[in-house]
Amino acid sequence: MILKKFLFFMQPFGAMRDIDSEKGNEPFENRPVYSRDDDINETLQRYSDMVYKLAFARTKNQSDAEDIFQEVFLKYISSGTSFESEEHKKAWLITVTINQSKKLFSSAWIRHRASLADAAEQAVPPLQLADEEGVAAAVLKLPAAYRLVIHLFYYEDLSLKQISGILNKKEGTVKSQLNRARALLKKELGGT
Amino acid sequence: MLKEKYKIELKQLPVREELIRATARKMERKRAGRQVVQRTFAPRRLVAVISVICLFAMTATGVYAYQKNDLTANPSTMMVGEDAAPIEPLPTEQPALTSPDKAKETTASAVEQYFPVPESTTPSEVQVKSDPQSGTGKEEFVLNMNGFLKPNGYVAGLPKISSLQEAADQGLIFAEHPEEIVGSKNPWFSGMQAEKLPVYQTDWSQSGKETGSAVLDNEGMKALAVQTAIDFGWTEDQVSELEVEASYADAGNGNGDSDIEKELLSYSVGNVTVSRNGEVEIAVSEEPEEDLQGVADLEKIQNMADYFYDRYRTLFPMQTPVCSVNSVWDFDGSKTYQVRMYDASGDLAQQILSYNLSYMSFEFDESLTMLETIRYRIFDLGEKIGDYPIISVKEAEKELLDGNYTTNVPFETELSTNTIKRVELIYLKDADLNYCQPMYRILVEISDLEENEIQEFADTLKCYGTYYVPAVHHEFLHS
Repeated sequence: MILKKFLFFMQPFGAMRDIDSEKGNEPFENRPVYSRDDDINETLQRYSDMVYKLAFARTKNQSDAEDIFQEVFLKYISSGTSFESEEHKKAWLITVTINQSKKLFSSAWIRHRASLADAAEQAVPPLQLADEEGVAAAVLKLPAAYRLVIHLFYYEDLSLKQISGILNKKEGTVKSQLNRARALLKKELGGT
Repeated sequence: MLKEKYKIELKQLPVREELIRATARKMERKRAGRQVVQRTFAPRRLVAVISVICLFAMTATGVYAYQKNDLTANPSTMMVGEDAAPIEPLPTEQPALTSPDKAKETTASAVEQYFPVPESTTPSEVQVKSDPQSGTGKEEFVLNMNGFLKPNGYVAGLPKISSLQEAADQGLIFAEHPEEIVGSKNPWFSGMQAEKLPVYQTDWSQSGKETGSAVLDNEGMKALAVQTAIDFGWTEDQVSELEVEASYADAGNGNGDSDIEKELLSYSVGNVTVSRNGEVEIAVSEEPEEDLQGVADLEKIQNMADYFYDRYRTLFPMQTPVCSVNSVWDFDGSKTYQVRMYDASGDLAQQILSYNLSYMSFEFDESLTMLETIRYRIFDLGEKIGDYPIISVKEAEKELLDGNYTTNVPFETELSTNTIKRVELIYLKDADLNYCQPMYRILVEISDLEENEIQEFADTLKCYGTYYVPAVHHEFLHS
């Protein structure tokens, strides 16, 4: 058995390999349903809105949201993750977007961003909410944790269970955050 | 509905086409590069091959060293370094238990090691249990722990409990000073040493019961809403004419058939709303009939709370009602007061439970002249497991500094005795815990706000991080 494994590892060493034909030799049950070889345009078409809006809801900044947007899709290509389903792929993209947003906040770069903020804003046309006193504007005023939960719940239609899985939090915690976020939202919107 | 409005408003913010095109180009380039690397080096398998080679090399080296030290006679006698003394090998067999008396002695000794008892106390009983089904002839010796008392008087042998894994708060609180955050009449204060406090089983993971709260079914919610409306002052005839309205969350299709809608469902009768967790909310909008103005806000609030509690005491009767006030700053920078009436009768433990979990709260308008809302919760602690020994404030602070805490503060910050500003013993309300248990909430001042992108209120208010440390002695907590 050990010898067999050793030969298996040695076989492709240094050789030109056709990844596609190799994939065809794998047992059916081991084959990923979705892989990096998906059509890039289709993936972007399907998930660009989700990734961008989530990044924007988290960062409240268009430049940051666009940076995160590119990072997430480049990670999608470079990561070796195989997806079992479209839902799995969606959850993966949401998780990576949240992580990239957190990373942005903790990076040294952002601490010095203030001096560059004007230049960045000039480079990207500023985003204007249609209704500055609407629900989206009120959501953006919520604390970050609440913003995230509300966005995933309201915009992405995720269930408590799905949100708790993505955020790695207990359902009860998500539920509490959602309840409090909704209470704050209603208060901000004048009890409507 | 908020949800639909939010979607419509966000949809009006399209992703820039240039951004999508630029990202697609970068992705194509990245994928092309990745395929070239994969075809040429097959990196994962290359790593695997190197690992196999290293494994062979390490094994060969280990066998050589083993033989050089002549350790073949007893592998458990390992040498560490050239001059190191050999470590005594472990005994290959446990000492034989020659008699029931010897076994009892060994059992008692083992228990004593974990639960030291004063010399004057002797274990009351050692029971012998045997399992005829096993056919091994082995017997278990079980020490009855009831006879053991620790020197400070609490009973050892309480079952271990699990503690808070994740706090459900925001992690950050803004205030002018930490005293604002804690209640003005909290029955517990930091100089007080509570030696033991009760712990209750809530079984959140089984029943969804939050700490200190009931779990009502739909009929229970409706019945409570109707009864509360009558207690509040509606006549039975009036209530019978009112419709019991179901209110769903801003989710699903609004028909109440999705899980989330069922979970967040509430029932209303007139101005009374009851939620599944037993929370009762009454919209009031009432000014007192007499002038209750005080010099300071706290005095006004105290007068208003006393007046309205007298007026509505039948809703939530207490023996010794006491008003406690703390203030919170909303995310928009405005200050509001949280006013609670709790029952200060009974012993300290009862008072602490009442203060934290079973109270009636009042919401006043900004000018403190009108009562807007009354809230309270149907109180259900669950089954009491026992009175558990409590660590001191100093010990809680040490646990914090040792990193044994739970927090939602979203970044690393300095934790030291200087940054700890206030410690409060609490029972967490609305927590998704399997045990309703005392916790220390430690307020830590966060000064590096700008570094952590917290600009809100930073000019006028201080920011405090909330850190939670279990108050139950760690001996009784699962690791």
